[in-house]
Amino acid sequence: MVHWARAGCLWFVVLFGCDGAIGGAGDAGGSDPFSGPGANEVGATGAQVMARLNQTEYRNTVRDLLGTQLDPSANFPADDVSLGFDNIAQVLTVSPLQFELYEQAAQELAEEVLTTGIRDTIVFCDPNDQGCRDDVFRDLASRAWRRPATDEEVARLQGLVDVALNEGEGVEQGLELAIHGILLSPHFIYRPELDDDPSSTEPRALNDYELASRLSYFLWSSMPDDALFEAAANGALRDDAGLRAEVDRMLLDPKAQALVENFAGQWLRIRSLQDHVPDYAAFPEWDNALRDAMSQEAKLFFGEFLSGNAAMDEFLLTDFTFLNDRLAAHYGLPFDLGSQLQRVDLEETDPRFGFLTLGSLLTVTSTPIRTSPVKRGVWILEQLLCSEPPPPPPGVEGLPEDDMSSGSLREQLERHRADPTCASCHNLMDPLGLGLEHYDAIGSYRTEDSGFPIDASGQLIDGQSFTNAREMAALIQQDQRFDLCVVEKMFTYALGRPAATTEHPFIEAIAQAFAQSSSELPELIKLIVTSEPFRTRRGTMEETP
Amino acid sequence: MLGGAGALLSLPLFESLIGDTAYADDSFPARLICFYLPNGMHMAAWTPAQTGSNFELSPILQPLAPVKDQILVISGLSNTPAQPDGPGDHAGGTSGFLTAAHANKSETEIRLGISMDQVIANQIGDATRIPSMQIGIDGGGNSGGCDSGYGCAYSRNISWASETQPLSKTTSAQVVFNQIFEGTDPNATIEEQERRKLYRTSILDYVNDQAQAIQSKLGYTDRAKLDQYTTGIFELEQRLSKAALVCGATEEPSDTSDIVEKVRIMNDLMVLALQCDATRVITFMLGNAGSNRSYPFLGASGGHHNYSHHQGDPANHAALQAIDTWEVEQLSYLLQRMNEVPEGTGTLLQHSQVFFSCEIEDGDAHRHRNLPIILAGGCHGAYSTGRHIDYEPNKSTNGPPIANLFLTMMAAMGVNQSSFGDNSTGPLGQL
Repeated sequence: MVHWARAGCLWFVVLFGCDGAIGGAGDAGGSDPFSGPGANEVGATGAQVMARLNQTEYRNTVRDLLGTQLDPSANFPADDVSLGFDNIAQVLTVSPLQFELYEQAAQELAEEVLTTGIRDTIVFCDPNDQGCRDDVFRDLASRAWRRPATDEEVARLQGLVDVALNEGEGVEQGLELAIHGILLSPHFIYRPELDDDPSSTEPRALNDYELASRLSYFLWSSMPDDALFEAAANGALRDDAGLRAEVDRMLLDPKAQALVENFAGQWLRIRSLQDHVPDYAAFPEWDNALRDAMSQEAKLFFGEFLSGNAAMDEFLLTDFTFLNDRLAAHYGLPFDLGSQLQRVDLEETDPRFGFLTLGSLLTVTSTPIRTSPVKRGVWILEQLLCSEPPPPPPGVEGLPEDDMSSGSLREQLERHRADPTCASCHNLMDPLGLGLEHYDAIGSYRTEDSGFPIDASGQLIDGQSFTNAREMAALIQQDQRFDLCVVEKMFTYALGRPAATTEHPFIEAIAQAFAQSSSELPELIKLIVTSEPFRTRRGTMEETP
Repeated sequence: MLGGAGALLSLPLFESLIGDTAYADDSFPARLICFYLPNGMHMAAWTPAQTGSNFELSPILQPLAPVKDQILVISGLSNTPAQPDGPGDHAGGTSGFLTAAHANKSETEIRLGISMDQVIANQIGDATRIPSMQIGIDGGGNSGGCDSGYGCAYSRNISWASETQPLSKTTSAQVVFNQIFEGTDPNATIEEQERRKLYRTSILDYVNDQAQAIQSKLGYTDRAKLDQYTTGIFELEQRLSKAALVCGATEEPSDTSDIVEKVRIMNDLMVLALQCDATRVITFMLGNAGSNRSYPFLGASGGHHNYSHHQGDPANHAALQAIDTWEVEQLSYLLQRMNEVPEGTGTLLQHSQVFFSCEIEDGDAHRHRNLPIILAGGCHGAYSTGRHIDYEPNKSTNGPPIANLFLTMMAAMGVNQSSFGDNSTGPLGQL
C-alpha cells in the first residue's frame, strides 16, 4: 500500500473534473474542507437517517429471529438503489403497497410460528398462564426490536391477546395477534436510533444495542445473535478491544457471507451477472453453468480477502483464483479440475491475475455483443478510484453495435477522442478500458478482435504508461486513490449513507491506518466499526421553512 | 387469460353489444391507465404521415388497427422540465413522465413533484378499495448505478405521492392479484370476516400507537420517514372499512420470468382491477428507464438501450422497430381486452383513458420534445378519438407542454386544476 506522507491533496484529485476545471488546486490550504474538523471534533459525525430493513435484511432477519423457511420479502417491491448500494437509508421508502405487504408478511409468519415446529422455540412455556405470555412476548419482542422491550410494551401485547379473548376465542389466537403486532411494529421494520434531543447536531455515543444492530446489519445483513446481544448487555462493545473481538467472532460466522453477497455483490457488480444476457449468436458457449462458475469465482475470490487469506494490496495482482473445469477451459488454462471450484495458483505468464481479469467483471461491463472499453474504464474510475468522470455532454452517442468496418474499436475510440469535447473525459476512461481489450465480452482471452490485432498498451492521464493489462493493474493497485476508495465504499455500505464532508478526515485516517497495517479486510472492518462515525450519531436541525 | 388455463372472468363477454351501437354509460366511472415504455421510439416508423381522422397507421402503429377509431395519436408535445441537468435523460424523462417536474440531481436527496395519477387518486381514490396501483415488469438491476448521478428512484418509479415519495411498483402478478382480492374469502362467514377485520384493526392501532410514541424522539427527516409508515396504516385501515370485492371468478396467476407471458398477465390483471372497480387509477412500466433488455424472440438480442443509440444505422433501426412494434402490440392487446368488457351500454374502454408514451422521443438524440403519445379510450366522450393530432409540426421547436395534456386528462377524470407540474399553461385543446 502507499505511504501516506504523499497523500496530502488526495481528495482534490478525487473531486476534480476530467480537466481539473471543478474545484482546483488553488483552493487547497485555508479553505480545505478536509483539514477542517479534526477526527474528534464535535459535529464531525454525519447525520444518520432512520434505516428501514431492505429486502435482504428483512429476509435474513425473519430467518434468524424465527427460524422460518418462508421468505415473504420475495414479493416486496425492489428497493431503490443509491450510490450503488441497496441499503442507503435516505432512499428506502415505505409506500402503501410496501406496508400492505409487511402486514401480509407478519400475518403469514405469525401463523407459521404457531402451526409448525417453530412454535416450541418461541412459545417455550404454557401460554394459558399470563406470566408465561409475558416471558414469551418479552423474549420475542426484545429480539425482534433488537433491544430490551419495556414492561409497558409487553403489557400492550397482552392487550392484543385480550382482543381475541374478548371475542370468545382462545389464547392461541391471541398469541397470533401479538406476534403479528411485533413483526409489523415500526421497531421491527425500521432501526430507529432515538434521541432525547433529535434536533441536536452534537454527536452522542450510540447505546449498546444500537451499536450491536449497526454491527450485525453491516457484517451479516441481519439482526444480532444471542452472543452479540449478550455483549451489548455486558457493555463489551464499549471499547475498541471488545468491538474488535466481536468482529473477529462475527466474521467467522457463516452469516458473514452477507458481505460477499451484498457488499461485494454490489460494489464489484457480481450480482449484475444474473441479469446479463450475452448475445447467443455472438457467444453460443454462454450458458448458466458458465455464468454460475464466474459468479462463484468472484465470490470465492473476494472471500479470500474477507477471511484475510489475501491482502487488499494484491487485489488487482493476485497469483490465485478459483476455477472448475468449465471456467478453466473458458479461460484457456490447463487445469484438471472437477465441477467444484477450487483455488488454483497462477503463473506470472497467465493472463489471469486479479480482480480485473475475472470473467464476471469483464462480462457485466460489456454489451451483449461486444466489449465496451468505455464502460470498463468508467467502472474502474468510479468503483476502484472513486473518481467519477463527468458524464458525456447532451446529445452524445455511443458506438454502433456491430459496425467494425471503420477500423478497430481502439481506432474508433481514438477518432472519438480527436474531438476535444470528448477527449477531456475519454482520455481518462478509454485507456483503462482498452487495457483490458485482450478479454472479450464474456471474458475469454483473445489476441485479435474482428481481425484487428489487440493493442492493450496505453497511457494514464498522469502520463504513466503501460504495455498490457498486468502493468495497468499494477498502476491502479499503487494509485493512492484506490486505497481511499476501498475505504469509502465500505464506509458507505457500513453506515448506509454517504460520508459527510466533515467525515472525510475519518476516512483518510482509516485509509492511512489500513495502509500501515497488513492491509487485510478484517482490519479495515475493525477500523471502520471503531471509528467515531460508526459509534456515534447526531440529529438533524429542523428545516427552516 | 391468466396463467393460460381456466376462465378468469365469470362475467360473460357480450361481444354483440360492442360496435357502432355502443355508447358511453354515465353510470360507470372514468378510469385511467398510464403505460410507460423505456428508451424512446423509432420515430420514422412511428409518426403517421397524415394528421386528422384520415390518417394511416404507421408501421409501428399497425397492431392498433382493431382499435384505430378509439385512439388519438398525439405528436408535438414537449416535456421540458424532464430535461436533466447535464446528462441523465432517461432518469429525467422517467421522473418527469407523469410529473412534468424537474428532478433534483442527486443520489440521495430525492426531490421531484407529485404525479398526475396521484393528483387524481387523491381526489377519487376514496371511492375504491385501492386508491391507485403501481405495476411494472422489472424490479431493478441487481447492482450498479442508475443514470448519471440520479438516484435509482428516478429511473424506476413514475408515480409520486409527493415531492419526496416515489411509489414503488410491484412486479409480481401474485401481489397484484392479492391487492385486488385481498380480504375476499368466500369460505368465511360474515361473523368471521368481521372478527378478522377487528383483529387487523387492533394490530394497526397497536403499531400506530408505537409510531406515535417515538415521533418526539426523531428528527424531522426521520419523522418524514415514519409518516410514510403511518400513511400505510391509514390506507390499510381505509381499505378494511370497505367491503371486500365480489367480482368475477378468480384464478390466482403464477409469476413467470417469461416477458411475453408476464406482460400479458399484467395486462389481464389491469383489466380485471378496473372491471372490478378495485381501483380507477393504474400506472404500468414496461421496463425501467434505459432498460437494456434483450429481445431474442424478436431477433433483437443486442439490448434495447444499446439499439436505441442507433446512430442512424439501419440495422439498429430495424431492431428498434421490432421492439417498438411489439410494445404497441401489448398496448393493443390491453385496449382490445378493455373493449371486450361490456359496461352498461358501453365498454370499459369507452369509460377509460389509456396514456401510452416514453421517457424521451428518439433514443439517440434523447429529446424531450415531440414525444410519441397514444391516448386511447373515449373516457366518456371526453375525446374525439380516431385522429392524429400534431401540435408542433416544426420538430426542432418545443411544442405545447405535456403538462397541459395532463390537465385535460385530469379534467376527464373529474379533477379540475388550473395548473400542474412545472410549466403548464392551461388545458390542451383540440382533443
